[in-house]
Amino acid sequence: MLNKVLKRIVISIPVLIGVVLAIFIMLRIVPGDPVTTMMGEHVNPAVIEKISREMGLDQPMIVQFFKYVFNALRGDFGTSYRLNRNVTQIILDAFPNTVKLSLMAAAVAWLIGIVAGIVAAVRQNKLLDRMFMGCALMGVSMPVFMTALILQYVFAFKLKWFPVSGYDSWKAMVLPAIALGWNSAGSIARMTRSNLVEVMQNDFIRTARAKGLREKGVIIRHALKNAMLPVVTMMALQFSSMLSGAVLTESVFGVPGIGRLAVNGIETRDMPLLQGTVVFTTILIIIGNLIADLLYNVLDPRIREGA
Amino acid sequence: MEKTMTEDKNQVVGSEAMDGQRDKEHIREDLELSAQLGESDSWEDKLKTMVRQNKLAAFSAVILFLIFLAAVFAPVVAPYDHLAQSLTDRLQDPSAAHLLGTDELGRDVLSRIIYGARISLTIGLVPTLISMAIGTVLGLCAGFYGGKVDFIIMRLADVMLAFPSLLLAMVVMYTMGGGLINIFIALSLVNWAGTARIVRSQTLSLKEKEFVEAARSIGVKKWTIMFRHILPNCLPSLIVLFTLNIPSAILSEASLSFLGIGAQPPSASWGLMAVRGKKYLFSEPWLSIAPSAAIMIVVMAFNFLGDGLRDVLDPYLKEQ
Amino acid sequence: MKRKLSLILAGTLAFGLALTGCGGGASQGNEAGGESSASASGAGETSGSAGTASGTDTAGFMMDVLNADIQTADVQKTSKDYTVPTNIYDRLVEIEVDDQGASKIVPSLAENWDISGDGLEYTFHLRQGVKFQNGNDFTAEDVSYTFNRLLTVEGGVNTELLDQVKGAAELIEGSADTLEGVEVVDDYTVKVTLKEPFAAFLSCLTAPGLSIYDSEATEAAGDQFGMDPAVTVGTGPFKFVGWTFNDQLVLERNEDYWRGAPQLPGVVIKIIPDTETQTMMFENGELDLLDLDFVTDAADRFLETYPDQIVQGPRVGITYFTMNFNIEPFQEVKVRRAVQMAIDRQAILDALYGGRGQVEHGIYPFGLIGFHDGKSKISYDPEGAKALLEEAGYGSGFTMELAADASASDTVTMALEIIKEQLAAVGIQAEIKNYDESTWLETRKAGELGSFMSTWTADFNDPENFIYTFFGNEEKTRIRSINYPDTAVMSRVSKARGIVNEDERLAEYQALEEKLIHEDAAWVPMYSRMHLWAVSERVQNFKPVWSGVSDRMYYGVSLSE
Repeated sequence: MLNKVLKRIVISIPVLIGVVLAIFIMLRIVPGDPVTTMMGEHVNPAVIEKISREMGLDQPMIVQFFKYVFNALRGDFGTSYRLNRNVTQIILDAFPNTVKLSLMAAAVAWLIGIVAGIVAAVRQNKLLDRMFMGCALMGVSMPVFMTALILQYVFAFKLKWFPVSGYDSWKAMVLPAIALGWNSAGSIARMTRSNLVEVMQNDFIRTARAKGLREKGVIIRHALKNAMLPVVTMMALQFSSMLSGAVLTESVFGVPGIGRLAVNGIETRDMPLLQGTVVFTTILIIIGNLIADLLYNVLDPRIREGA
Repeated sequence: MEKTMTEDKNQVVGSEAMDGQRDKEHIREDLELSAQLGESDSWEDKLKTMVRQNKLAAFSAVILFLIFLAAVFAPVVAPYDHLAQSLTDRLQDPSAAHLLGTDELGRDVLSRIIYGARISLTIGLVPTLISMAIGTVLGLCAGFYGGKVDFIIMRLADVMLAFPSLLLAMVVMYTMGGGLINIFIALSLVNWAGTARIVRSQTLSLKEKEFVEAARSIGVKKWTIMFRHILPNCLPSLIVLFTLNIPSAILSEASLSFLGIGAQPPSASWGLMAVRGKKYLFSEPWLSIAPSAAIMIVVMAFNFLGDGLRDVLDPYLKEQ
Repeated sequence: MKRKLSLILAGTLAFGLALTGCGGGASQGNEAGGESSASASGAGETSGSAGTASGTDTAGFMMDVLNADIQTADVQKTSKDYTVPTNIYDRLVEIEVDDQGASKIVPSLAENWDISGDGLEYTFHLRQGVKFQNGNDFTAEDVSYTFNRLLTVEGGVNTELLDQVKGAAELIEGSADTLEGVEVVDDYTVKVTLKEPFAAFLSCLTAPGLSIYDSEATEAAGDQFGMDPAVTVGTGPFKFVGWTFNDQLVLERNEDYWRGAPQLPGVVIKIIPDTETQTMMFENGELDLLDLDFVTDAADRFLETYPDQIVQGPRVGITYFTMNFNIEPFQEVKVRRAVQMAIDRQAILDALYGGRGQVEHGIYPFGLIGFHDGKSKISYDPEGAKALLEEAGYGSGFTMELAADASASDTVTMALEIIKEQLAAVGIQAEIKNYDESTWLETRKAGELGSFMSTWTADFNDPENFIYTFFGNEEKTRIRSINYPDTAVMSRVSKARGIVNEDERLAEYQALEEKLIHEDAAWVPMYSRMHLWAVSERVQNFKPVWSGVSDRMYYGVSLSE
């Protein structure tokens, strides 16, 4: 088991380096001089040259890359052009908000996904099945910013149940969490539904039914327990899509999280900030995948036996 | 009855966030198995089965076909020129003359949505085709040649799959700037790795099959084997994947438009129309609701169609 | 190992089941609604009591909003984030606008000043007894320090403001250690010497970029000045007390302000990028102040819904449309004039800004010194434009590029779409080409950009800030991609800066405007706009500041209860 964990970790390292390299190269072929863009209209050309030198932009790309990797290994993602602050610090400040949002969104995704999945599985191909699956799917079928806007409009603006924006109370986080979580609910619902359908055909469920257990009891006690195994492992992986979705959700609801930083980086053409945010997020996702893989290996009896 | 019970198994949905790999892994496993079990009915039979079994999928196919027709024949179908401005008629409510009202420059919204279908469907189709072509070729090579080729291609795929895809698309657009061509490039770059993985695993199992062994023994060229013998057997899964990747591309473009790095005016994708229209949500809600609804209909239709196709093209599920 | 994992699994499952259980009750309705109803009561209460991240109790503070966070509160390092600096620092002199919109320069940290007859020496007599927010006294040393720092600080972007001071160039290049033109005469007198007469110098000093810093505190703060609120001090009416990036900025009343403490206890500035969210927050009572410049599309509706809560003032800036003299066929004056006549500027202003503003006919926009109504007008005349094109030999039209900057606002892009149509009506085929921001800027600076539309807003209240920026010399006109060729006119523009007699100077500026815009048709003046704000019912006495930028002055504002 330990060997396997180590092996997975070792495999992740070249991927990580590849990710950093890819981002690094992509951001270096940006047309235009980053310093000119960042300094704006009122500045002297001599100053621009001086700053380029200070930022090491006049050195060969390979030198810049190794410097970056070396510093990143020490947890230093450089200094933001625009904000003149340490990127690592900016990211760490924003990180808890994104985690909070993602966790609440995961809860929402699970709630919608599992409920819809169970109802749909029990009422296969009936009206309720279509209705619940349709509801779960709706979240992924609309652009996230529209889902968010409509939620705001209905529940904050018209009904005044929640504040329009914010992140400092759980109440303020409800709408952002629904907007983000609903987006992932579709896949969870489908997975729950199909796994449940599969499990319910198994002999032991038929036996339980034959024993005269009430349908609801059967589902919850037996089928669900088995069907949920792969769904549980989805949790860590959902984090990846949550982080992507957070970019838009955070912007709409004004949550100061990591997704906002990526948008800041794009809008102000702040290369170190964008680079740091993407690399950091990717590391999180690689770790998430790693955990999911291991969890899956441990939980799924078929794979465990095979391994 | 038993057959249709499992129609939704582990479906990937075209999600804004382009869902994680777990979904893809599952598809991969299914498709791998399906490849091993080989072909049975003809295409025609399968489609008939789908229409019979899954009315929703059939209905979705019809809807998509109609939208596709409208896009192709936009100049005929659209009641007005989608670019013709009339500053005196801006922001009009829906009426008999303008079924969906007019936009901020007095252009007919319905006509813009019909023309917008061209751009949004192109954004759905082109990057999906490109990324799947790249993914298929790389996947075939990786699976067929194995060894170093396999290792390099798959590590590259690992790198691509490790990125949060929207962020990666953002970085590409940041580098190259907005515009249709760049969107194609960004979304193609983002999506090829998933296809490559699936095709590779199918190739791995197909390569051991008798008909491949046979072809090899009589000296058929490697490329011929790959493209004549192995590729056709991957097609069912590629088709399913295709219908599921399109909506995700359309939604990704909408997200990029929201961030101001998607389609550039005056070429109005549905995503861009929704982004621009949402500023008028309070007084002229149809400006954002109409294009959003268009996106939703197309995305859902592709998903339902994908479900349906999956049921009939996926022998693993059928035989169960 | 196995046991532990099965525990985790059990826990997760329980969580899943708990959720399932909760959802069960609501399963007939839609889940989103089901969950939200659990907390159905009183969500609107959050206004005025935003977070405690800054450690300051912000209850009763005014709630304002910005759509993007600031980079720094060190105004020497930013050319746009002026809201915080405007309120936490003071300048030597300030601009005051009367009800008619006329503006004049009034004393601030400088109580009065003398200008030598040759216009080269400015002697400022400073106000005594003014203290910085850390308790330090304000003296002439601080003025000298501020000026020197502006030119030498790393990352400084406002060096142009002091370009005219003697020794500025030497200090920037490093051949001098101190700014020769600034002399501390005594604790409360400072003398500034210019390298040549520069009539707009006093106006220049009102720019937010020339806010006065505390020499001691600023030096001690190093690069944290403007970043860490605790060390960022000025003499202004508000103290900078909190900054949570991407979330909010907090300003608190300076009880010891030399003009008298502000009435507002403080201000919380939320950072909300989405304009629809801002609009809903305002309407839900979560905001007291909303800059409608960010949400122009909502302005029409707000004017109807809250007619008594709209405050407005001229946005001193000119929107202009360029024609690059180096690009065929714009070297031809008749073609340029035809373009001037082909664009229906009033229609664009009406469509995009509800007509709030006015069509301009020159270089100096409404609200700026030097603006006058007497100059020639450009009228919308597509037939006349066609005739001119015919005369110029372009009767069958020509193709041209409209260069769009991807980072520009949607309204600018829409304006280009309208212009494209209007040009098509006289036979000119204009194509919109989209550039990303940096390419757009670089192409423009190289003088190779096609036609574009942009807005120049005043840094300080003087026509010099406009005409010199675009037509001051060959380099200036090149980096705007205008490439105006008449060097004689440009040297007049340059010389006008030094005319000491105010009337003569303005007359020359107006003559130059006439020559450039009406005789030579060097650009298409588009319009200047009104700057609209929505204020909540409890906000009293909010006035837009004189300024092209979107900063606000909270001093003088109060909240009724």
